[in-house]
Amino acid sequence: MKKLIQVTGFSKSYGSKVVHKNINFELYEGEVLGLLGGSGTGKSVLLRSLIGLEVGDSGETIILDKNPNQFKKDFEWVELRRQVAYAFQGGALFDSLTVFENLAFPLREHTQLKEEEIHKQVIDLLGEFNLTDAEYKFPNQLSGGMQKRVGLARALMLRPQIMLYDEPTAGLDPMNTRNIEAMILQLKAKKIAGILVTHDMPVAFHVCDRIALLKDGVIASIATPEQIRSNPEHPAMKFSEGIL
Amino acid sequence: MTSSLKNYFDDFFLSVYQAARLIKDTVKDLKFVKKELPLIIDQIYLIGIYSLPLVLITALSTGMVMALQFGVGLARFGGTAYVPRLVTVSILREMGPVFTSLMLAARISAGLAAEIGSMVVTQQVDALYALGSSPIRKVVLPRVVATFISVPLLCMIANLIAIGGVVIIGENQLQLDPGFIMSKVIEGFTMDNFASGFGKTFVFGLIIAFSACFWGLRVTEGTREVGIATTKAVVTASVLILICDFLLTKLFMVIF
Repeated sequence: MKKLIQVTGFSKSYGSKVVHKNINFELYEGEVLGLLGGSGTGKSVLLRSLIGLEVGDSGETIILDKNPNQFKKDFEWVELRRQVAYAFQGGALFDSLTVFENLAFPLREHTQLKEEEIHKQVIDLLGEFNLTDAEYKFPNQLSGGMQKRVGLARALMLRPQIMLYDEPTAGLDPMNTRNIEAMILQLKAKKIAGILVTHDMPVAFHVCDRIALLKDGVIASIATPEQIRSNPEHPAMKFSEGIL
Repeated sequence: MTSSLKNYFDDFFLSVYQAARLIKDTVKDLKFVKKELPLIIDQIYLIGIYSLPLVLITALSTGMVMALQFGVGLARFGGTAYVPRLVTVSILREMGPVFTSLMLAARISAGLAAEIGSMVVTQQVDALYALGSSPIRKVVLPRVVATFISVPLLCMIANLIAIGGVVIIGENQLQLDPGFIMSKVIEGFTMDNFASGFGKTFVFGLIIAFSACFWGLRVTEGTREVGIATTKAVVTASVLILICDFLLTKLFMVIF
């Protein structure tokens, strides 16, 4: 299978605090890779660094056959970010724009589509995400779950090849968690690969093809959900039981 | 002690570097002004129109107080007749632009820094990057251009209102003839006097906008930092306005 992302020897520190020492992993075409780890282990930092929101101290990342370390112009990042979308933990919706305008934003920024076509695409996606009623609402009028769904929908507007999910189910009730889970599985079915940062083991087991456990600045283990479930001594299993 | 001093200077020079980069990046993005016109118009409305009541009250009060103070002071020497011209010149050259800009620094810098800081905290600025856009183009540029346009316009309005205050006090308190007051006001309203004050307001507008955007974007996390950024934006803008006022006054004395 084709590698979409390959991270080699990634390290990152904030002053004297070492967050990542030597991170190595790959993301393959069509798969969802779970990234587990306790609070403060730098899961989100790792995810953010993939699209240049954080800069690593050393290491190499190859994303869609491109090496961002060699980017010289801003537009190279822009091109990459069109292909690799980021779904923020809280949605990160623009609070001065309505839901419709939030979703239309990437299309208006990056395409020459006419307003009628933009309207059609936004309405279609709102329908897919069961958000039709929210079209004219502002983010502060939405529940946390709806904000996350709108954030996810906005990230998908440019039809990316890779999705980066930053704790998409954190703080949600079981119903909304199931909705988000279903959406990630839908995207997976459409061959959109993803990296899922989460604390939520049931979600990780349900949607991920492989699960990586981040501990002490390195990837302590990578295994399939079946391998983890079948081995009570597996570090990811111990993490899920609160032992590790 | 030495280490904390070193940290202070490191931070200071880093801030100067980052501010210079912000200005450079904004200038580089000026080519997008036409594309971002709707955002700029929105900001002109928010910054300009909403600041009007504050500007009107400040200007009227400044004009009236100055006329009253000069009137009382000069009355002892029989110089009440000089008040309209004297105050008009003071307002046009200094008090109008500086007072108005200081008030706008407080209002606009605080508002913009808090808004941008909150956008950072709620990851809206990160979202702009992640969506392949630019916070400079979408956040900084519209606010800088809008402030650059609004502050001079507001200062011009403030000048007129302040002079209106002089007319009111001159007629009602100093018992001067309205026709005489107007003739003296017009005498003081020369191009030199007007331009030397009005010219400064463009610089003041830029100072207000860049201070706000700089401190707002420097927020990293937490609402506490938003509050600190707001205070720093107002203090930076006010101090820079006063420093630049002196430098520009010297410069305009040579030009005009």
